Amino acid sequence: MTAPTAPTPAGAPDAASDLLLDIDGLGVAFPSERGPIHAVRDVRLTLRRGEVLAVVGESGSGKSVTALTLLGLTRGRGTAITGKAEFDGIDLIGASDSQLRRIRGKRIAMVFQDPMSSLNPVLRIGHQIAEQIRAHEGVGKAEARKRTIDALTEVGIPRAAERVDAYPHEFSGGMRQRVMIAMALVCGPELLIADEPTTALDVTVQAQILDLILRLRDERGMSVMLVTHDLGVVAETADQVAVMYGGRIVEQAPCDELFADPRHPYSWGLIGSIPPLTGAKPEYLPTIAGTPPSPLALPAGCPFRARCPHEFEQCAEVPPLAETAGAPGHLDRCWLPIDEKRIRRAGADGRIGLLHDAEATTEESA
Amino acid sequence: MSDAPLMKVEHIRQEFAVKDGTLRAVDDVTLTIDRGETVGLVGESGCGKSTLARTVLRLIEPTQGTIALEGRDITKVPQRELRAIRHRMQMVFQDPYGSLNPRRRIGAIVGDALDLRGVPKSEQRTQVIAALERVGLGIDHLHRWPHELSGGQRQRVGVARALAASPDLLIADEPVSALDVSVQAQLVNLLVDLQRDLGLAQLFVAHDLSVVRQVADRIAVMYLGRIVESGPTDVVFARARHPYTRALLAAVPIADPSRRGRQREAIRGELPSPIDPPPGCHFHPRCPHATDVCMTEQPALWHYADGGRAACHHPYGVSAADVAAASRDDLASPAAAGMSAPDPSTADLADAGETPAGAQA
Ligand SMILES: Nc1ncnc2c1ncn2[C@@H]1O[C@H](COP(=O)(O)OP(=O)(O)OP(=O)(O)O)[C@@H](O)[C@H]1O
Ligand SMILES: Nc1ncnc2c1ncn2[C@@H]1O[C@H](COP(=O)(O)OP(=O)(O)OP(=O)(O)O)[C@@H](O)[C@H]1O
Ligand code: SF4
Ligand SMILES: [Mg+2]
Ligand SMILES: [Mg+2]
Repeated sequence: MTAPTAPTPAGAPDAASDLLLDIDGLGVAFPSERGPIHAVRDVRLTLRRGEVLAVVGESGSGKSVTALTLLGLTRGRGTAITGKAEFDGIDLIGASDSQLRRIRGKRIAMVFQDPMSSLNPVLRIGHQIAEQIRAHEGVGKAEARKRTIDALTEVGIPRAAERVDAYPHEFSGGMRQRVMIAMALVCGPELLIADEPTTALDVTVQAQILDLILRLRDERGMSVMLVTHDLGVVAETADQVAVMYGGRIVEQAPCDELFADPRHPYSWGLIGSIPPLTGAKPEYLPTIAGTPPSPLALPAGCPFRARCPHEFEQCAEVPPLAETAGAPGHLDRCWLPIDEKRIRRAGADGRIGLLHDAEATTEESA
Repeated sequence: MSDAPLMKVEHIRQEFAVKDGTLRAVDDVTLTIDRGETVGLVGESGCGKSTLARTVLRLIEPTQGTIALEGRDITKVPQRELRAIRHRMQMVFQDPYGSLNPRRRIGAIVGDALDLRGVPKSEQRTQVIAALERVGLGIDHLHRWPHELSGGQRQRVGVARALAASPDLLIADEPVSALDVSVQAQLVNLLVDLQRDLGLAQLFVAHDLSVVRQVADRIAVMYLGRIVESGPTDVVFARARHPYTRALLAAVPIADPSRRGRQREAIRGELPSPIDPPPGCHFHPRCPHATDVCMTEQPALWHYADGGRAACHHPYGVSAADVAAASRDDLASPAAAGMSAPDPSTADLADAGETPAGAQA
């Protein structure tokens, strides 16, 4: 009769004990015939209990590798993992595989973009979830089955008591994603890592899944690391946002701040390139010219240099991830002075975007 | 040139035989695309968008209905003769990886479209270069292989290949869905340019409503094979009448944290199986406003005075006067004769939710 013991958020949390995930200087390099692939470089992130941290960035920027590394899933022959990643004081980089297995699924759970990659197609879904419970907790079959049905009900699967014996292919994409979330949450994890959990789904179903994740966060005080490339999803769900580019964090800020006062040119480009859903239609969407750098041939200096219209001499050196303008918790990696940034990011219509000097400064410099 | 629209499909039905019976992927769809017009086609996965797009091109033969190009019925034209007009309608596909032959160079891929039009080899090189330049790819791409290009560049090659055929109509099936937002914006700008500079008409299939708003003059919303709402883009965004359209709009995440607390009318559940669709209005099991009539009677597509059309028994924001001024779609189905008019007395009853556009309307 043991109910899953979900951690409850502390009444008046003090900042230090509240820290659940502490990543600093994390680097991941994969071996390849043409030299090391620096997928993740010098990543610093923190996540508090009950908080949603969104990680955004271009395809290939290192979002998934960062997430997978926390669970030991990028370990392999020749992979160089450096730096620190601590979960509630436990060293995730130095932990043995068997230590990680005990944490994985129990205290840290993960949901992937493609649910079929983590569900076994030939096993009934109820069996797969029940095994997950039995692997981590010494409960009997009947108890595990009951908890499985409760978990499926909680994530909104109708007639869970019948559907528990169905196979993955008998579910729609949205329902499979719910099954994945049920499986992830059944042991009451303190941290949910969700890598593009809704990218393959329709907006209608996406809204339902995101609401579900947020509700569980509220009810259980669970922390969430949400990997996405959709700034709409970020704005709807995140407390904190980290923007990645070329394997590095280029900006990190509370969600409201990132949208109101973005500091890094890549963030301007990201924000600017979303077509607005209301108001006047811009004639052209500001874009980011060019393509992201290859992790095999990373440019020296600022990783965004090759695509940045504001680049200058100093950019040949890597800018530090630093707080500017006295806003605590708002960090970015760009050499431009803050006043310059505020001028250069605004177009003639006041919208934020990555603009070329001429377009950006005609009004101000006149 | 005739007065007929560039493309008109009428009462298209597309059925597939499947294990459990017949799957009606497209159900009595009528759609016109004028010269130089971009029509956006939206709806949830599996609602029939790609099937309709393929049918328009006769890549699959319709089970029922007619397809007319500039007033000429091409439904029954043999495929061999169709080749002569195929170049006028070109398709761009969703998957920038699978849609280019990996064993051919970019120049040859784009050049194929010119063969289709019978352009002599001697003139092809210049035209291929022009098409590549049009989409922002330099002459140095001529001899490159697909695998050497990024997703966005491949998608541009797909557009260049289509353009080389000098089509009147471009059918783009989710052309930007697989791309990063920053690259997506480049391609959206390109498509808008093509319409403006070349007067190219487009059928633009997408599930991202903000992208559709940026490119489309008109929007058609599909649900389980039927068009449930259509109209000028501004009309649909500001005054969506069908509860499904409103739900779709409300579900789009907005990249503005200050809008986070807004009230949203979420719809329940997911798209039902097209093999056994719900009777009456297909949307009724998920609709917050369904009444008895919705469960039994298929609503007709009513045409309102502002150019908007909606197939709903209880449309939003519609007054008795609007209904009186509305006209009805000439459904082929005999059931149309006995159909009910939209009931304005029940409209708006439960409209507590807010669509993004509704906020300013
Ligand atoms: N196992 C691996 N071996 C070698 N290179 C890898 C491996 N996994 C990832 N990479 C490379 O590391 C870089 C970062 O990849 P990652 O999957 O983290 O990107 P991402 O930000 O998640 O992108 P996406 O948005 O496309 O999912 C990419 O260049 C990728 O090709
Ligand atoms: N050749 C086929 N045989 C049987 N069923 C088919 C065939 N092609 C499509 N369907 C079915 O028809 C319905 C409509 O499919 P279609 O691909 O047109 O949807 P869509 O709106 O383009 O979806 P998506 O947004 O996922 O691309 C689906 O239920 C699909 O499974
Ligand atoms: S550091 Fe330089 S190149 Fe990098 S984003 Fe800032 S201005 Fe652009
Ligand atoms: Mg990824
Ligand atoms: Mg499709």
